[in-house]
Amino acid sequence: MLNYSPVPIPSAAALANSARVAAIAAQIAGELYRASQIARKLALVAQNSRTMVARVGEQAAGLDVLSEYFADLSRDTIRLSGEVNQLATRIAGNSVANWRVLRFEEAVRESIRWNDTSAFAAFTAQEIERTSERARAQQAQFREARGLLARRLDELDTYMRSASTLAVNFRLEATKTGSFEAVLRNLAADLDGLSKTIGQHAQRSISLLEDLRNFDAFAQAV
Amino acid sequence: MLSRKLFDEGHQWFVFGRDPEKPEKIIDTNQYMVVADGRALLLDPGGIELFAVMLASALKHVTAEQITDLFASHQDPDIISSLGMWDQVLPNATLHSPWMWEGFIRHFGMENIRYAPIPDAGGVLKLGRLALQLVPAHYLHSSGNFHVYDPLAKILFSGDVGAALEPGEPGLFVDDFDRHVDYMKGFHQRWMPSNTAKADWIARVRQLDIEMMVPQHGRLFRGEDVRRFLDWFDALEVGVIDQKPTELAGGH
Repeated sequence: MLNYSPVPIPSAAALANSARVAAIAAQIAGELYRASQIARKLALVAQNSRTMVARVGEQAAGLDVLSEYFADLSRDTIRLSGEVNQLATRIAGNSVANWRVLRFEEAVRESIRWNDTSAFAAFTAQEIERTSERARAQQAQFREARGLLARRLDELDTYMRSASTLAVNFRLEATKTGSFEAVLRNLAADLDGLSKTIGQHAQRSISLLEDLRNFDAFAQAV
Repeated sequence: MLSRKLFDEGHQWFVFGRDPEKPEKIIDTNQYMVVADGRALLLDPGGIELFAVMLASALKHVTAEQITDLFASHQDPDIISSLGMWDQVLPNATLHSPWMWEGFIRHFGMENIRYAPIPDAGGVLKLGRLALQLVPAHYLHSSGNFHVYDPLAKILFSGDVGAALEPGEPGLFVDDFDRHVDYMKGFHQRWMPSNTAKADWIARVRQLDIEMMVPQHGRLFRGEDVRRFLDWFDALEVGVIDQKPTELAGGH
Protein backbone atom coordinates (compact mmCIF):
# COMPACT_ATOMS: atom_id res chain seq x y z
CA MET A 1 0.00 0.00 0.00
CA LEU A 2 2.80 2.42 0.90
CA ASN A 3 5.59 3.00 -1.59
CA TYR A 4 8.34 3.98 0.84
CA SER A 5 10.63 2.03 3.09
CA PRO A 6 8.88 1.31 6.38
CA VAL A 7 12.19 1.41 8.23
CA PRO A 8 12.14 4.49 10.43
CA ILE A 9 15.19 6.45 11.48
CA PRO A 10 15.20 6.16 15.26
CA SER A 11 14.76 9.63 16.67
CA ALA A 12 17.05 8.81 19.59
CA ALA A 13 19.84 7.96 17.16
CA ALA A 14 19.04 11.01 15.04
CA LEU A 15 19.08 13.19 18.12
CA ALA A 16 22.35 11.68 19.30
CA ASN A 17 23.87 12.31 15.88
CA SER A 18 22.53 15.82 15.75
CA ALA A 19 23.93 16.56 19.18
CA ARG A 20 27.27 14.98 18.23
CA VAL A 21 27.54 17.01 15.01
CA ALA A 22 26.67 20.18 16.92
CA ALA A 23 29.28 19.25 19.55
CA ILE A 24 31.98 18.65 16.92
CA ALA A 25 31.16 21.93 15.21
CA ALA A 26 31.35 23.69 18.58
CA GLN A 27 34.70 22.02 19.31
CA ILE A 28 36.07 23.23 15.97
CA ALA A 29 34.81 26.74 16.71
CA GLY A 30 36.46 26.47 20.15
CA GLU A 31 39.79 25.40 18.64
CA LEU A 32 39.72 28.32 16.23
CA TYR A 33 38.70 30.73 18.97
CA ARG A 34 41.78 29.71 20.94
CA ALA A 35 43.83 30.01 17.73
CA SER A 36 42.52 33.56 17.24
CA GLN A 37 43.51 34.47 20.81
CA ILE A 38 47.04 33.26 20.06
CA ALA A 39 46.96 35.10 16.75
CA ARG A 40 46.40 38.31 18.71
CA LYS A 41 49.59 37.58 20.64
CA LEU A 42 51.29 36.81 17.33
CA ALA A 43 50.19 40.20 16.02
CA LEU A 44 51.85 41.88 19.01
CA VAL A 45 55.06 39.92 18.56
CA ALA A 46 55.06 40.73 14.83
CA GLN A 47 54.57 44.41 15.71
CA ASN A 48 57.46 44.24 18.19
CA SER A 49 59.69 42.59 15.64
CA ARG A 50 58.89 45.29 13.06
CA THR A 51 59.78 47.96 15.60
CA MET A 52 62.99 46.18 16.44
CA VAL A 53 63.88 45.67 12.77
CA ALA A 54 63.36 49.39 12.12
CA ARG A 55 65.69 50.17 15.01
CA VAL A 56 68.38 47.82 13.68
CA GLY A 57 68.23 49.48 10.25
CA GLU A 58 70.05 48.31 7.14
CA GLN A 59 71.50 45.18 8.80
CA ALA A 60 67.97 43.78 9.29
CA ALA A 61 66.49 44.66 5.89
CA GLY A 62 65.64 40.98 5.23
CA LEU A 63 63.65 40.76 8.45
CA ASP A 64 61.26 43.55 7.52
CA VAL A 65 59.48 41.40 4.94
CA LEU A 66 59.33 38.47 7.36
CA SER A 67 57.83 40.63 10.12
CA GLU A 68 55.25 41.93 7.67
CA TYR A 69 54.38 38.34 6.78
CA PHE A 70 53.74 37.42 10.41
CA ALA A 71 51.58 40.50 10.87
CA ASP A 72 49.51 39.43 7.84
CA LEU A 73 49.40 35.90 9.17
CA SER A 74 47.94 36.97 12.48
CA ARG A 75 45.28 39.10 10.72
CA ASP A 76 44.39 36.19 8.42
CA THR A 77 44.15 33.80 11.36
CA ILE A 78 41.74 36.12 13.17
CA ARG A 79 39.64 36.52 10.01
CA LEU A 80 39.65 32.78 9.34
CA SER A 81 38.67 31.94 12.88
CA GLY A 82 35.67 34.29 12.51
CA GLU A 83 34.65 32.55 9.30
CA VAL A 84 35.13 29.12 10.82
CA ASN A 85 32.98 30.15 13.77
CA GLN A 86 30.17 31.18 11.42
CA LEU A 87 30.46 27.91 9.48
CA ALA A 88 30.48 25.89 12.69
CA THR A 89 27.35 27.71 13.86
CA ARG A 90 25.71 26.98 10.50
CA ILE A 91 26.59 23.29 10.80
CA ALA A 92 25.27 23.10 14.37
CA GLY A 93 22.01 24.86 13.39
CA ASN A 94 21.64 22.61 10.37
CA SER A 95 22.07 19.50 12.51
CA VAL A 96 19.28 20.61 14.86
CA ALA A 97 16.98 21.40 11.92
CA ASN A 98 17.85 18.00 10.46
CA TRP A 99 16.96 16.26 13.71
CA ARG A 100 13.60 18.03 13.73
CA VAL A 101 12.89 16.84 10.19
CA LEU A 102 13.92 13.26 11.03
CA ARG A 103 11.84 13.37 14.21
CA PHE A 104 8.88 14.56 12.14
CA GLU A 105 9.38 11.78 9.62
CA GLU A 106 9.49 9.22 12.39
CA ALA A 107 6.28 10.62 13.89
CA VAL A 108 4.52 10.52 10.53
CA ARG A 109 5.56 6.89 10.02
CA GLU A 110 4.42 6.08 13.54
CA SER A 111 1.06 7.78 13.07
CA ILE A 112 0.04 5.15 10.49
CA ARG A 113 -0.58 2.78 13.41
CA TRP A 114 -3.56 4.85 14.53
CA ASN A 115 -5.17 5.69 11.22
CA ASP A 116 -5.37 2.99 8.57
CA THR A 117 -7.50 4.87 6.06
CA SER A 118 -6.26 5.08 2.49
CA ALA A 119 -6.55 8.88 2.59
CA PHE A 120 -4.22 8.99 5.56
CA ALA A 121 -1.81 6.56 3.88
CA ALA A 122 -1.66 8.86 0.85
CA PHE A 123 -1.14 11.86 3.12
CA THR A 124 1.70 10.21 5.04
CA ALA A 125 3.40 9.01 1.84
CA GLN A 126 3.31 12.56 0.52
CA GLU A 127 4.61 14.00 3.81
CA ILE A 128 7.45 11.47 3.94
CA GLU A 129 8.44 12.37 0.39
CA ARG A 130 8.46 16.07 1.27
CA THR A 131 10.42 15.32 4.43
CA SER A 132 12.99 13.36 2.45
CA GLU A 133 13.40 16.33 0.12
CA ARG A 134 13.95 18.63 3.09
CA ALA A 135 16.46 16.20 4.58
CA ARG A 136 18.32 16.02 1.27
CA ALA A 137 18.46 19.81 1.06
CA GLN A 138 19.80 19.94 4.61
CA GLN A 139 22.42 17.33 3.76
CA ALA A 140 23.51 19.42 0.77
CA GLN A 141 23.78 22.51 3.01
CA PHE A 142 25.73 20.50 5.56
CA ARG A 143 28.18 19.26 2.93
CA GLU A 144 28.62 22.74 1.51
CA ALA A 145 29.37 24.22 4.93
CA ARG A 146 31.68 21.33 5.75
CA GLY A 147 33.51 21.78 2.42
CA LEU A 148 34.02 25.49 3.08
CA LEU A 149 35.20 24.68 6.56
CA ALA A 150 37.71 22.17 5.20
CA ARG A 151 39.06 24.74 2.74
CA ARG A 152 39.43 27.39 5.45
CA LEU A 153 41.21 24.97 7.76
CA ASP A 154 43.55 23.80 4.97
CA GLU A 155 44.31 27.43 4.22
CA LEU A 156 45.19 28.04 7.85
CA ASP A 157 47.27 24.88 8.06
CA THR A 158 49.26 25.92 4.97
CA TYR A 159 49.88 29.37 6.46
CA MET A 160 51.21 27.84 9.65
CA ARG A 161 53.54 25.40 7.87
CA SER A 162 55.00 28.35 5.93
CA ALA A 163 55.27 30.28 9.17
CA SER A 164 57.52 27.66 10.71
CA THR A 165 59.86 27.76 7.71
CA LEU A 166 59.92 31.54 7.78
CA ALA A 167 60.64 31.55 11.50
CA VAL A 168 63.82 29.57 10.73
CA ASN A 169 64.76 32.18 8.11
CA PHE A 170 64.05 34.90 10.63
CA ARG A 171 66.44 33.25 13.07
CA LEU A 172 69.15 32.98 10.38
CA GLU A 173 68.74 36.61 9.36
CA ALA A 174 68.98 37.58 13.02
CA THR A 175 72.55 36.29 13.14
CA LYS A 176 73.52 39.18 10.85
CA THR A 177 72.32 41.87 13.23
CA GLY A 178 75.23 41.95 15.65
CA SER A 179 74.25 43.16 19.10
CA PHE A 180 70.53 42.79 18.26
CA GLU A 181 70.89 39.08 17.49
CA ALA A 182 69.79 37.78 20.88
CA VAL A 183 66.65 39.93 20.99
CA LEU A 184 65.70 39.04 17.43
CA ARG A 185 66.37 35.34 18.00
CA ASN A 186 63.99 35.48 20.95
CA LEU A 187 61.38 37.15 18.78
CA ALA A 188 61.91 34.44 16.15
CA ALA A 189 61.38 31.78 18.80
CA ASP A 190 58.14 33.49 19.89
CA LEU A 191 56.91 33.76 16.30
CA ASP A 192 57.74 30.11 15.70
CA GLY A 193 56.18 28.92 18.95
CA LEU A 194 52.96 30.89 18.49
CA SER A 195 52.64 29.80 14.85
CA LYS A 196 53.15 26.18 15.84
CA THR A 197 50.46 26.46 18.54
CA ILE A 198 48.02 27.92 16.05
CA GLY A 199 48.98 25.10 13.71
CA GLN A 200 48.16 22.56 16.43
CA HIS A 201 44.68 24.05 16.84
CA ALA A 202 44.24 23.90 13.07
CA GLN A 203 45.36 20.26 13.03
CA ARG A 204 42.96 19.33 15.82
CA SER A 205 40.16 21.06 13.90
CA ILE A 206 41.06 19.13 10.75
CA SER A 207 40.94 15.92 12.73
CA LEU A 208 37.52 16.86 14.12
CA LEU A 209 36.40 17.58 10.59
CA GLU A 210 37.14 13.94 9.74
CA ASP A 211 34.55 12.98 12.37
CA LEU A 212 32.01 15.16 10.55
CA ARG A 213 32.77 13.21 7.38
CA ASN A 214 31.83 10.03 9.23
CA PHE A 215 28.46 11.56 10.13
CA ASP A 216 27.87 12.34 6.50
CA ALA A 217 28.52 8.69 5.68
CA PHE A 218 25.95 7.72 8.33
CA ALA A 219 23.39 10.11 6.89
CA GLN A 220 23.91 8.65 3.41
CA ALA A 221 23.52 5.14 4.77
CA VAL A 222 20.09 5.87 6.22
CA MET B 1 -6.03 7.53 21.90
CA LEU B 2 -9.64 8.18 22.75
CA SER B 3 -11.41 10.35 20.19
CA ARG B 4 -14.92 11.58 20.96
CA LYS B 5 -17.25 14.13 19.43
CA LEU B 6 -18.55 16.44 22.14
CA PHE B 7 -20.82 18.66 20.06
CA ASP B 8 -22.26 18.47 16.58
CA GLU B 9 -24.82 21.10 15.73
CA GLY B 10 -23.63 23.10 12.74
CA HIS B 11 -20.06 22.87 13.91
CA GLN B 12 -18.17 20.24 15.89
CA TRP B 13 -16.06 19.83 19.00
CA PHE B 14 -13.82 16.80 19.38
CA VAL B 15 -11.77 15.64 22.36
CA PHE B 16 -8.65 13.47 22.05
CA GLY B 17 -6.96 11.95 25.06
CA ARG B 18 -6.49 9.00 27.40
CA ASP B 19 -3.65 7.76 25.23
CA PRO B 20 -2.86 4.26 26.55
CA GLU B 21 0.55 4.22 24.83
CA LYS B 22 1.94 7.45 26.19
CA PRO B 23 5.12 7.03 28.24
CA GLU B 24 4.26 6.46 31.89
CA LYS B 25 5.88 9.57 33.34
CA ILE B 26 4.20 11.93 30.88
CA ILE B 27 1.11 13.64 32.24
CA ASP B 28 -2.12 12.70 30.51
CA THR B 29 -3.63 15.51 28.48
CA ASN B 30 -6.86 16.30 26.68
CA GLN B 31 -6.57 17.86 23.25
CA TYR B 32 -9.54 19.47 21.51
CA MET B 33 -10.46 20.29 17.95
CA VAL B 34 -13.19 22.66 16.78
CA VAL B 35 -14.36 22.31 13.19
CA ALA B 36 -16.46 25.02 11.57
CA ASP B 37 -17.08 26.05 7.96
CA GLY B 38 -14.47 23.62 6.65
CA ARG B 39 -11.74 24.92 8.97
CA ALA B 40 -10.31 23.27 12.05
CA LEU B 41 -8.74 24.67 15.19
CA LEU B 42 -6.60 22.57 17.54
CA LEU B 43 -6.74 23.66 21.19
CA ASP B 44 -3.60 22.94 23.20
CA PRO B 45 -2.39 20.38 20.64
CA GLY B 46 -0.06 18.76 23.14
CA GLY B 47 3.51 17.66 23.66
CA ILE B 48 5.92 16.34 21.07
CA GLU B 49 5.51 12.79 22.40
CA LEU B 50 1.83 12.85 21.43
CA PHE B 51 2.26 14.37 17.98
CA ALA B 52 2.07 11.12 15.98
CA VAL B 53 -1.13 9.89 17.56
CA MET B 54 -2.68 13.38 17.54
CA LEU B 55 -1.94 13.78 13.84
CA ALA B 56 -3.50 10.40 13.09
CA SER B 57 -6.54 11.15 15.26
CA ALA B 58 -7.21 14.65 13.94
CA LEU B 59 -6.87 13.55 10.32
CA LYS B 60 -9.62 11.00 10.81
CA HIS B 61 -12.02 13.95 10.87
CA VAL B 62 -10.40 16.65 8.72
CA THR B 63 -7.62 17.01 6.17
CA ALA B 64 -4.31 18.66 7.05
CA GLU B 65 -5.21 21.62 4.81
CA GLN B 66 -8.34 22.21 6.87
CA ILE B 67 -6.35 22.69 10.08
CA THR B 68 -5.81 26.41 9.73
CA ASP B 69 -5.46 27.43 13.36
CA LEU B 70 -3.78 26.33 16.56
CA PHE B 71 -4.38 27.72 20.02
CA ALA B 72 -1.96 27.43 22.93
CA SER B 73 -3.44 28.59 26.22
CA HIS B 74 0.07 29.16 27.56
CA GLN B 75 3.68 28.13 27.06
CA ASP B 76 4.03 24.81 28.85
CA PRO B 77 5.57 21.83 27.02
CA ASP B 78 2.51 19.60 27.53
CA ILE B 79 0.51 22.30 25.74
CA ILE B 80 2.57 23.07 22.67
CA SER B 81 5.99 21.37 22.51
CA SER B 82 4.70 19.57 19.40
CA LEU B 83 4.80 22.92 17.58
CA GLY B 84 8.02 22.05 15.70
CA MET B 85 6.20 19.05 14.22
CA TRP B 86 2.95 20.87 13.34
CA ASP B 87 5.11 23.54 11.76
CA GLN B 88 6.20 21.01 9.15
CA VAL B 89 2.79 19.64 8.33
CA LEU B 90 0.76 22.89 8.60
CA PRO B 91 3.06 25.50 7.09
CA ASN B 92 0.21 27.96 6.49
CA ALA B 93 -1.46 27.73 9.88
CA THR B 94 -1.76 30.46 12.52
CA LEU B 95 -0.95 29.95 16.19
CA HIS B 96 -3.01 32.02 18.63
CA SER B 97 -1.30 32.38 21.98
CA PRO B 98 -0.64 35.00 24.66
CA TRP B 99 1.51 37.84 23.35
CA MET B 100 4.01 37.45 26.17
CA TRP B 101 4.97 33.89 25.28
CA GLU B 102 5.90 34.36 21.62
CA GLY B 103 9.64 34.51 22.23
CA PHE B 104 9.45 31.46 24.47
CA ILE B 105 7.13 29.31 22.37
CA ARG B 106 9.31 29.84 19.30
CA HIS B 107 11.93 27.74 21.09
CA PHE B 108 9.78 24.71 20.23
CA GLY B 109 10.53 25.34 16.55
CA MET B 110 8.40 27.60 14.39
CA GLU B 111 9.64 28.54 10.94
CA ASN B 112 6.42 28.52 8.95
CA ILE B 113 3.41 28.90 11.20
CA ARG B 114 2.31 32.50 11.86
CA TYR B 115 2.12 33.70 15.47
CA ALA B 116 -1.02 35.73 16.29
CA PRO B 117 -0.38 37.28 19.71
CA ILE B 118 -3.44 37.54 21.97
CA PRO B 119 -3.55 40.81 23.92
CA ASP B 120 -4.04 40.66 27.68
CA ALA B 121 -7.71 41.66 27.40
CA GLY B 122 -8.48 38.68 25.15
CA GLY B 123 -10.42 38.84 21.93
CA VAL B 124 -12.25 36.82 19.33
CA LEU B 125 -10.93 33.95 17.24
CA LYS B 126 -12.92 33.59 14.04
CA LEU B 127 -13.19 30.16 12.55
CA GLY B 128 -15.26 30.77 9.46
CA ARG B 129 -18.48 32.27 10.77
CA LEU B 130 -17.92 30.88 14.25
CA ALA B 131 -16.67 33.49 16.71
CA LEU B 132 -14.86 31.95 19.66
CA GLN B 133 -14.15 34.13 22.68
CA LEU B 134 -10.62 34.20 24.09
CA VAL B 135 -11.21 34.57 27.81
CA PRO B 136 -8.39 35.96 29.98
CA ALA B 137 -7.26 33.48 32.63
CA HIS B 138 -3.98 35.06 33.66
CA TYR B 139 -2.14 33.41 36.57
CA LEU B 140 -4.33 30.31 36.21
CA HIS B 141 -1.75 29.02 36.25
CA SER B 142 0.53 30.76 33.76
CA SER B 143 1.04 34.51 34.02
CA GLY B 144 -0.19 34.89 30.44
CA ASN B 145 -3.09 32.50 29.95
CA PHE B 146 -6.36 32.23 28.00
CA HIS B 147 -9.39 29.97 27.82
CA VAL B 148 -11.74 29.56 24.88
CA TYR B 149 -15.51 29.95 25.05
CA ASP B 150 -17.87 28.88 22.32
CA PRO B 151 -21.18 30.71 22.85
CA LEU B 152 -23.05 28.52 20.36
CA ALA B 153 -21.94 25.16 21.75
CA LYS B 154 -21.80 26.64 25.28
CA ILE B 155 -18.47 24.93 25.83
CA LEU B 156 -15.66 26.51 27.83
CA PHE B 157 -12.17 25.15 27.24
CA SER B 158 -10.65 25.88 30.63
CA GLY B 159 -7.01 24.85 30.23
CA ASP B 160 -5.55 23.86 33.58
CA VAL B 161 -8.57 25.11 35.53
CA GLY B 162 -10.65 22.08 36.42
CA ALA B 163 -7.70 19.79 35.78
CA ALA B 164 -7.44 16.59 37.78
CA LEU B 165 -4.60 14.16 38.27
CA GLU B 166 -6.47 10.91 38.58
CA PRO B 167 -4.65 7.58 38.51
CA GLY B 168 -5.85 4.54 36.60
CA GLU B 169 -8.20 4.87 33.67
CA PRO B 170 -10.65 7.63 34.50
CA GLY B 171 -13.86 8.10 32.58
CA LEU B 172 -14.37 11.01 30.23
CA PHE B 173 -16.88 12.94 32.33
CA VAL B 174 -17.10 13.71 36.02
CA ASP B 175 -19.73 11.37 37.46
CA ASP B 176 -19.19 11.92 41.18
CA PHE B 177 -18.16 15.50 41.85
CA ASP B 178 -17.44 15.08 45.57
CA ARG B 179 -15.09 12.20 44.85
CA HIS B 180 -13.49 14.07 41.96
CA VAL B 181 -12.49 16.89 44.31
CA ASP B 182 -9.82 14.61 45.76
CA TYR B 183 -8.02 14.58 42.41
CA MET B 184 -8.34 18.33 41.82
CA LYS B 185 -7.63 19.91 45.18
CA GLY B 186 -3.85 19.52 45.43
CA PHE B 187 -3.36 20.47 41.80
CA HIS B 188 -5.36 23.69 42.09
CA GLN B 189 -3.82 24.69 45.40
CA ARG B 190 -0.29 24.22 44.11
CA TRP B 191 -0.49 25.17 40.43
CA MET B 192 -2.80 28.17 40.82
CA PRO B 193 -0.83 30.92 42.52
CA SER B 194 -3.31 33.77 43.02
CA ASN B 195 -6.64 34.03 44.87
CA THR B 196 -7.20 37.44 43.25
CA ALA B 197 -6.73 36.01 39.76
CA LYS B 198 -8.99 33.10 40.65
CA ALA B 199 -11.79 35.41 41.89
CA ASP B 200 -11.45 37.57 38.77
CA TRP B 201 -11.75 34.53 36.51
CA ILE B 202 -14.72 33.10 38.41
CA ALA B 203 -16.58 36.42 38.19
CA ARG B 204 -15.95 36.52 34.44
CA VAL B 205 -16.89 32.90 33.81
CA ARG B 206 -20.07 33.06 35.89
CA GLN B 207 -21.42 35.48 33.29
CA LEU B 208 -21.07 32.86 30.56
CA ASP B 209 -23.75 30.33 29.71
CA ILE B 210 -21.78 27.09 30.03
CA GLU B 211 -23.09 23.59 29.43
CA MET B 212 -19.69 21.92 29.32
CA MET B 213 -16.36 22.91 30.86
CA VAL B 214 -13.49 20.97 29.34
CA PRO B 215 -10.07 21.12 30.99
CA GLN B 216 -6.70 20.07 29.59
CA HIS B 217 -6.21 17.27 32.13
CA GLY B 218 -8.70 14.85 33.62
CA ARG B 219 -12.42 14.53 33.37
CA LEU B 220 -14.80 16.96 31.67
CA PHE B 221 -17.60 18.79 33.52
CA ARG B 222 -21.11 19.06 32.19
CA GLY B 223 -24.42 20.44 33.36
CA GLU B 224 -24.69 21.07 37.06
CA ASP B 225 -21.11 19.95 37.68
CA VAL B 226 -19.88 23.16 36.01
CA ARG B 227 -21.64 25.28 38.67
CA ARG B 228 -20.43 22.89 41.39
CA PHE B 229 -16.89 23.34 40.19
CA LEU B 230 -17.14 27.14 40.19
CA ASP B 231 -18.55 27.12 43.74
CA TRP B 232 -15.86 24.71 44.91
CA PHE B 233 -13.06 26.67 43.25
CA ASP B 234 -14.44 29.93 44.66
CA ALA B 235 -14.14 28.57 48.19
CA LEU B 236 -10.71 27.02 47.68
CA GLU B 237 -7.67 28.89 48.88
CA VAL B 238 -4.95 28.59 46.24
CA GLY B 239 -1.25 29.35 46.23
CA VAL B 240 -0.67 27.06 49.19
CA ILE B 241 1.18 23.84 49.76
CA ASP B 242 -0.52 21.50 52.17
CA GLN B 243 0.19 18.18 50.52
CA LYS B 244 3.22 16.05 49.94
CA PRO B 245 4.65 16.15 46.40
CA THR B 246 3.68 12.51 45.85
CA GLU B 247 0.06 13.30 46.67
CA LEU B 248 0.17 16.29 44.33
CA ALA B 249 1.23 14.03 41.52
CA GLY B 250 -1.92 12.01 42.02
CA GLY B 251 -0.03 8.83 42.71
CA HIS B 252 2.09 9.05 39.50
